[in-house]
Amino acid sequence: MKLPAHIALTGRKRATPAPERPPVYAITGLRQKVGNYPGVTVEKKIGITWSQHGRPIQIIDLPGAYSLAARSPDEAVLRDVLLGRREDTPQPDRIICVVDAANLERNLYLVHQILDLGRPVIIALNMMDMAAAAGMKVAAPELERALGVPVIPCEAVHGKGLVALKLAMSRIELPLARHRWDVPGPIAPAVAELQASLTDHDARPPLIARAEALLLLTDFDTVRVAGSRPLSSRTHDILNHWRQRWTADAADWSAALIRSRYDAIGLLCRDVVRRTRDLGPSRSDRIDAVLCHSVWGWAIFGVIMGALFFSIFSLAESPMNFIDGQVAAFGGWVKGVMPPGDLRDLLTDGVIGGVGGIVIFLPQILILFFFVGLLESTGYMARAAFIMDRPMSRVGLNGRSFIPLLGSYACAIPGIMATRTIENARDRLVTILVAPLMSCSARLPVYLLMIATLLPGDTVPATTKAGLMLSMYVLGTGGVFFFAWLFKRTLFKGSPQHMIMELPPYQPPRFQEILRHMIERGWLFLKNAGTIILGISIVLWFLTTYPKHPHPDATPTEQIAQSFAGRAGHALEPVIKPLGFDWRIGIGLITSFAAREVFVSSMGVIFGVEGADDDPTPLRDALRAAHWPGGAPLFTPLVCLTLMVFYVFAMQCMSTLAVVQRETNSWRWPLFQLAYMTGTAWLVCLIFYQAGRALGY
Amino acid sequence: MSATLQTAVALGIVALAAILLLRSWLKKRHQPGCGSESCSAVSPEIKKIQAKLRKP
Repeated sequence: MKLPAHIALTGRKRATPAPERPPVYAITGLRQKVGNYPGVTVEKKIGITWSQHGRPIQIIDLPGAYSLAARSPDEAVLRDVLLGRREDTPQPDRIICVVDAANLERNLYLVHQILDLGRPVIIALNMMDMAAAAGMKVAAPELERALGVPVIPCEAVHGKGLVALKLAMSRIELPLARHRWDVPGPIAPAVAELQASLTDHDARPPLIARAEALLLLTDFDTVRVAGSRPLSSRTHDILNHWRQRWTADAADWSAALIRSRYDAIGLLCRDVVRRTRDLGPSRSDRIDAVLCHSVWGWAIFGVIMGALFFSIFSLAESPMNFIDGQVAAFGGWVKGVMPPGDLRDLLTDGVIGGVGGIVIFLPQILILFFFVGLLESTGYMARAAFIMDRPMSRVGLNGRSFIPLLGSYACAIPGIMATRTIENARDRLVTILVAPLMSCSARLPVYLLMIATLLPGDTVPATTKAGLMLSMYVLGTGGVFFFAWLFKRTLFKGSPQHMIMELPPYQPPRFQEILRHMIERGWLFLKNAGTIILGISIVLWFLTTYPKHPHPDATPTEQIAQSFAGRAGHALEPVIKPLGFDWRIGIGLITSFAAREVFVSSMGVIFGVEGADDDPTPLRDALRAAHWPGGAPLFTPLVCLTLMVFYVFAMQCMSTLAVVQRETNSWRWPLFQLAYMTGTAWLVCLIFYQAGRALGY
Repeated sequence: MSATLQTAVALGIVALAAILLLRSWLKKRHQPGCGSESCSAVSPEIKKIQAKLRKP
């Protein structure tokens, strides 16, 4: 037998960072993000590891599930890869099933179905420590004897069992399963007929055909995804025939089939799992009694979110001031050593002004991701989804939609991709349409710049700044609820689905994992600043500098008005003037369509160009000094707030639109999203600004 | 450095930046979302592996 070339990795679906996954990633080198929501494994991910003999093995990381009966697109991908239905993925030579020892009976259902496939299987019996803490002793050797496949006990957090798992993966031959269970007698003819059709008309090997027949009889192939081979019409006819016959007989043989499998698993667990002590409420249950309480749960949720935003301002202030000072000093130094000219202006106004304006927000980005990682790692993020289930159901969605929405706080792209876990197509589309309203990390620099301009210096307490920032997040979340409610009552009418979620046990935070994730995010932020934002800043400098004003002694404002960017801003001004924005802000709105944070670098370039040559003032001071031609200040508190509100609602992200197009397979929805979000942003800002003006602000 | 030379170098840098931005945009068009290198949702390590796997 040849060495394995493709190994599929699968496990149960959970709303948590799936603590069972990290050791396997440690083996494969697939060090992907581990989050507290199912969206993280929604993508099929592939990695390479090396066998004990030095041969490469491709690992396919499949979505998690409780069974092969697919209820969502990601579960359908799992089913289709394992059954060999996918055109783009080879059928795996081996399958590693990652099983939670603390919930063995529930997890074994998927394993039991996979064993039917007749492929070599390795069971990674993970979270043995959790099982022991819950008063259970799981006898891995007995499970191995009963199933006939290697069972490797593991402890994810402590890295135990990894060597044994890797050795099992490297074995040239693996025994095939010898599990037995009784298919109810009246179902046997249906299984046999379907198996024969799948073998003859769908080219399935006999064992896989039998496993697929059993699955079809319980699931009736309800969810299908693009890229999978459809079943033959003959198989469909047989399936429909049995379905109609059972309906006519009023016999629920599908349920009987599921029950008989659970009976077999129950018998197995009786021999394998021993209770070492009486089961009382676990530590996690006791904590949940408070954190998921209908009143206290909300209070604690509010305190945690408030503390998170307060930390962003209070802890980041000193490093931000330091970076700000260094950027300004560096700009001043360049101005001092270079003679006047276009290159000097490009370096100081374009490169240092544009990139430096973004880089100063690095401490706040790092702090945000540290706390998000902390909440995910401890298991609290799943509780947040649980708490949000009730308000979500009020607008016609459920907690499962909130999980991608939570992810959208970091970036709408993974959030939108995580919607593949949503079973109901209407709910999925609504979630995709509203997800970009969640305030992503790209909005953070815009909010921070506006808050710094609006509430300057140390005189304003951090709590006030944090409160203002939090209110933007609340506004975005409120927008999500409003539009979800609106869409569910107009475009996508339908009853809400119920959510079943398994809450993970609380765990001590894994600081190494959190720090790695935080550094990774910080590096990506810097990389973005050093590539895309640098490029845009340089091009924007050109657009704000050329063509040059015919009079050499023209003021900087006259020069920028004469430039390409100035002309574009002036063309946009009639549309944005009712919102209190001038043509210079208009330039920022246009350029930030590439990415929201580009607004900050654009302001850095525009107001750097406009500023006096020897004036290396920080951007927030330059904005405070900006004024309308009549002399009135441009960035009044009302304008700063209006600009923040605009960025809460406006669809200012090309990448998100591209992903929505890919996920919905149509340009109709991204264009609709662009229209409704930017239209709402304009309308809300108009009302907000004009009402503020009328009230004398 | 004379003002004329500074202008020539500055315009050269601008042209280079514009070309690189255009190249990155075209790449993104072929691989929108997390298939592209600029997506921050997938770790750089995964992207390296994916790039390696794409090679024939």
